[in-house]
Amino acid sequence: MRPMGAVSVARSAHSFRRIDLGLHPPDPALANVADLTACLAHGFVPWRREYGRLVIACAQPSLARHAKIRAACREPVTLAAAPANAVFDAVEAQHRERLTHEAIYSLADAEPELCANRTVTRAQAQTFAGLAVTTLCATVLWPHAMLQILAGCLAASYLANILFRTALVWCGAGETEAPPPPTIADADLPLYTILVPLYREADVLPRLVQALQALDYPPEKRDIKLIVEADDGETRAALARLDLDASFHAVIVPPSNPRTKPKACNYALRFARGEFTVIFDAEDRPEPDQLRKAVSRFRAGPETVSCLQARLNFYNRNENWLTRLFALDYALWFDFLLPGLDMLAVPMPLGGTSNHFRTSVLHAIHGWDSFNVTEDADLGIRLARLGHRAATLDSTTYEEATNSTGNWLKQRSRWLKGYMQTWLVHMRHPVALWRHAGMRGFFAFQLFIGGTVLASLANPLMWAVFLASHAAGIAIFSGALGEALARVSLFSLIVGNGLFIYLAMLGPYRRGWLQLTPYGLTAPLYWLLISAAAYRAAWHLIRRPFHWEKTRHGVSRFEAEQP
Amino acid sequence: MTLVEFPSFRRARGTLPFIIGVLSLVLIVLFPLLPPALLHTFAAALFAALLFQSLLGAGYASFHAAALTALTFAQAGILLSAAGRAGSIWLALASFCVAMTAAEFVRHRDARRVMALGGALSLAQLLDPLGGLLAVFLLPLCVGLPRSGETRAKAGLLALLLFMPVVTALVLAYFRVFLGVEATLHRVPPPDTQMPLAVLLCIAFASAPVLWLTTMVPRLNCPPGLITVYTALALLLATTLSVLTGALPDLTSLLAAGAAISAAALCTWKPSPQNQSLALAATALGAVLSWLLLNLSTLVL
Repeated sequence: MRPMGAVSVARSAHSFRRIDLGLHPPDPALANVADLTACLAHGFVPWRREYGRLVIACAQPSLARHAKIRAACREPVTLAAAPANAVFDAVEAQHRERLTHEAIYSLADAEPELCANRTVTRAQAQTFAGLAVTTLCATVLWPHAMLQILAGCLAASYLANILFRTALVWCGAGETEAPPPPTIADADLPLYTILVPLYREADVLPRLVQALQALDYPPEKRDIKLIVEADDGETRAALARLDLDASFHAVIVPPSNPRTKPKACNYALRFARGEFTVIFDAEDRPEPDQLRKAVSRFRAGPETVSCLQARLNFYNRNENWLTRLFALDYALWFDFLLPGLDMLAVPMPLGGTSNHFRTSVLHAIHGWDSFNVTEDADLGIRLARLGHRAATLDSTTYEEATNSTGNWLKQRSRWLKGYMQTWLVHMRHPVALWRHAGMRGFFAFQLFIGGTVLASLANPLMWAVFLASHAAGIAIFSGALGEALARVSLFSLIVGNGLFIYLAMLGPYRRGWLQLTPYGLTAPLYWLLISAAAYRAAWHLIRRPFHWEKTRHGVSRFEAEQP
Repeated sequence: MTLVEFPSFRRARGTLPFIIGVLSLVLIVLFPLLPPALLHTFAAALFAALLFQSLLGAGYASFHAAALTALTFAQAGILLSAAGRAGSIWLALASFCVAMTAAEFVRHRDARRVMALGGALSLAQLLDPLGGLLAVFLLPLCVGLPRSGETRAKAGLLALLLFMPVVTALVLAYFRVFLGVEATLHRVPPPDTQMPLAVLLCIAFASAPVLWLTTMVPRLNCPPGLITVYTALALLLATTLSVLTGALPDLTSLLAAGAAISAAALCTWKPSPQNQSLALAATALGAVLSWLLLNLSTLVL
């Protein structure tokens, strides 16, 4: 890796003494002279004492900064210049333990009721146990009636979920083409932090770097953090082999539990210098103008819009049946459902990558929940509860779709486990959720987060009930109530499944990928996989709630192409 | 905030009639115990409201929209079927929804219009048995319109447009064959007059001057307008087919449907003062012709 930050230091700090922190590391005894937050905010590290005076290595030394650093250190200081990345590495080395603790527990310490470090609270456990016992007793006493009621409830909630989704698609489909964003001169563009968590991604690293370099954004205004786990020797070695410019900064995350992406992102977030921050995954290929579009949207929109979610889809969608169905799924999600949520101004669960944030807001809400395996979805809900808004950004990031069933199941069950965690966390205090998100937001949360999980779990059950009552001739529904419930169930089964298939077929319409539409007819087979993933997720939630199942990337035989 | 002011609905003003139609249908389906006369009145009122709102949405002045609605209701088919004396108002409602959503689809071609057209074609089958045939005949016309695009993409669009009506047809068939339930709202009424098919088609064609103008006057001629004319032709074709397969001809319902499609065609005209006056004159002429031809045919036959 080339010396980092050399250009900016030479330009702004030509009159200051220059220090090579690699050859002359800071004195560890001075680690606590200044507060960690001040060190990171002003980009400095107490270096050594020379002739009784404290010498500070600073990324961008200036007279204005001198006063601030002096105040932070509470004594006279002498400033010296050092490359920005070297300064941050030195700070990281001095405060590793505290940074690790904060990366894991920042949210748990500040907002314990919003952290998933406990899967269920005592009150929730008591409620669930009470419900289970009551249902069990009622089933023993009135088996037939209970079976009818349960089947009816399942059908009604399933139907409510699909009708809500249809309404969202209707709203999302009405989203008009956004006018081209006003051109912002390079000089007016802010520093933009790009976080890229990497774990065993040595194979895709060169292509990732290529994609990031292809972004239409001035290199000196990119603050790219490649986040690598300390024990991931393979990726670290691959990183060392690359000749990266000063805009890249490798952040090494020390080993600690839970080993999750949000923890790694929290760790790196402390070093983010940009006004805005975006997350990309290792296999991502964002459209080159995405950062400029995001800046324009942030500047044009109200201050309450704190997050922009770009659209996601796959460059290897035509690889096999699974990737095609996955592409339909994503197209529906990012092109219709999320814009629908945006239009209704209700909480939006963010997708795993290409989330653009105002960095200050991200800091203020304590970053991501390290214990939630869909930290992005949780963050979207948390933003809404705290009065912020997430909106959609009309720019696409192309990813690699998992192309094998095993890999897909792992990924999907992690997502569904995360949705279960998110629902459990935010339903600890339903009244508070109602108060924060409003009535519309509350119901949208139930139907979109809870409904996604419930539909995945309920679908095979509903088919079982239908087949048992029709094919096998078992009379589940009887009597006046049974007749009514049978009608609701039949309606739910036919209309619900019909609409699910139709929405899957509609998914690629906006992108003009109509050749994928007929594959939507095979969506019921895909739901079987989703249901399998949901049951697996439920099992994992009980056994290994914080375990992050790694999705393997770089296995597709398709190369990223121009969309 | 009213429903129309709600942002997502405001953006979709052109397809608002469809939403109201679907909501009304849900109400009808959920309340099958309502007396038929009430449902009938409800259908007529709904049609009037949809028509008036659609004309307003198309840019007509309130006075012209009200007058056009009144004149459409003065047409023989609509008036007789709305009053419950003959024919069926349901076919008019179905035809109006299909023609409106098809015109919107041709104009915008976005996902929402695809959904609306698919929904309207399904709705047509639920409202009237002739609606099923209308769906079958109209779809190829809609799909044939894309000017470019590869075959596979066209197949995708076809699958998308066909899905909802085909599933509806299958569900209706399932209800009819396996459960013995006739799920369509409209029962074919006894024919008001026995007349040869050719005469029936000629009368229906002659009493729709709005559609002639839409086809022949260059300034009124546009793809959305033409699709409403295609809808009318598809209706005539569907009627022919149903009569040839043994159904009894029903002139009043056909006239009502023609008036409804004419009203949808008016919504595709540019609402300049000249066109608004022409719309009033053509609709009035249509109403007069319908009564004249209906009575004349009854007298002669």
